[in-house]
Amino acid sequence: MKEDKKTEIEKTDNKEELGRREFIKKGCELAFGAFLFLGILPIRTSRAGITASAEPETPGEGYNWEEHYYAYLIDTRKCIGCGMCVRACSLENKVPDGFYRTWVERYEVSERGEVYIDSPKGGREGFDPIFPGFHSTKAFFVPKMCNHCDNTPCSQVCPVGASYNTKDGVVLVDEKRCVGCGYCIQACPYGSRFLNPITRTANKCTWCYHRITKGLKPACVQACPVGARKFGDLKREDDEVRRILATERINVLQAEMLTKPKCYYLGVDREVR
Amino acid sequence: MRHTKHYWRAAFLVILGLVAFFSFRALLIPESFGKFGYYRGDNVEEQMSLPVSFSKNEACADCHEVAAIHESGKHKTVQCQNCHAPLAVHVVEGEMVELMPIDRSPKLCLRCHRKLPSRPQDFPQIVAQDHTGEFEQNLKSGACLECHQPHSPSL
Repeated sequence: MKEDKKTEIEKTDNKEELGRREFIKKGCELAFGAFLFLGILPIRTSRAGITASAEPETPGEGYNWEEHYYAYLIDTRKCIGCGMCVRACSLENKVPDGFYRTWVERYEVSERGEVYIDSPKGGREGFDPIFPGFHSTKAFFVPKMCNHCDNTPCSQVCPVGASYNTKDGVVLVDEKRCVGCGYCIQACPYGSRFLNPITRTANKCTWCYHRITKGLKPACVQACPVGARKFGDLKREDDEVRRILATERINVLQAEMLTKPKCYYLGVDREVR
Repeated sequence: MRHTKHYWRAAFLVILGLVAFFSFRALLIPESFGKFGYYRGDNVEEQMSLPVSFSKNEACADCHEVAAIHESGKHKTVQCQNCHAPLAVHVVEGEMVELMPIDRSPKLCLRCHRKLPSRPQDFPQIVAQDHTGEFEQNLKSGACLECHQPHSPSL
């Protein structure tokens, strides 16, 4: 008896709560909601690259980034420390004063292992003689810059996807996307990033992406009078950098960080990190 | 089935929430984000289209005869724009906009040729005092150029 009564109540409840009019009204609302939801969803999936898109595979005209893979070679034994590379970089990329996308370090090392390192104004105005306070037995210059790592700590930590690796092997920063949190600056073990005080965004070497995609050399490479800086394309058969990487004893900075840098060094001493 | 009404209400609210969330998200994510990867695809083209300031030496040779002398001299590996200025300062779209600066200071020469232990030893370098009898800071503008021809030095 009790059971029957309950079902009867429910039946009457249903009739009262969900009449035909009400049902159609609710149904329409639901359908509208679902339509909106599904209308947005396909955009998201195609954006995330799940569905194959008809978008062009390479950005820009007259340049295919699949055909290039760049590498940079620095021969520290040739560097004369003139700082022309730093000057050229600053002028080409309008780098704000006091900040450097590339810089030159001077090392003076004594027999006993004392080390003096300096880089006045990033080496932009050249170097004056110094007296390190010990008898230096070896001395050399080391140009430094963004290493354009394959395994980038900087773009991995970016919370907004402003820093990224291009298919031709360059690490870039999207100024419009960057929120200036400075996370990437701390993540880079080479100290090659800085916060641009004008735009308040992360800034770094781009290997002069606007030049290399036009077939020009980066400004620093072009400015080097002694050929200490070399820029190469590993997908080219007759490339000089490719040949040197294959035949000579090369090194990278902080290999233990496993960042797989693409700036290769010839003749770096153990003091250099 | 006594609480059907509540289920419908809850479902409706959930869906409304989802719609609001995804619409808001779609507004925040830029158009080309994810085109090539987890970044704004259009930025690659923006980076590619930045203006080029430094040109090649050949561009200087178009107008300046001294470029031919420079090209065959000892300073041939030194870019014209290293000692002067980027071409973009001087010429814009084939028209001269400003004269190229000429730096005659010994400081410019000594950037490369000042004696430093860190330079490769076979690179030509001088101590200003031994070379000229004057301290570097006392050398007048153009002091080096009295003996040396900067575009093709033979001394």
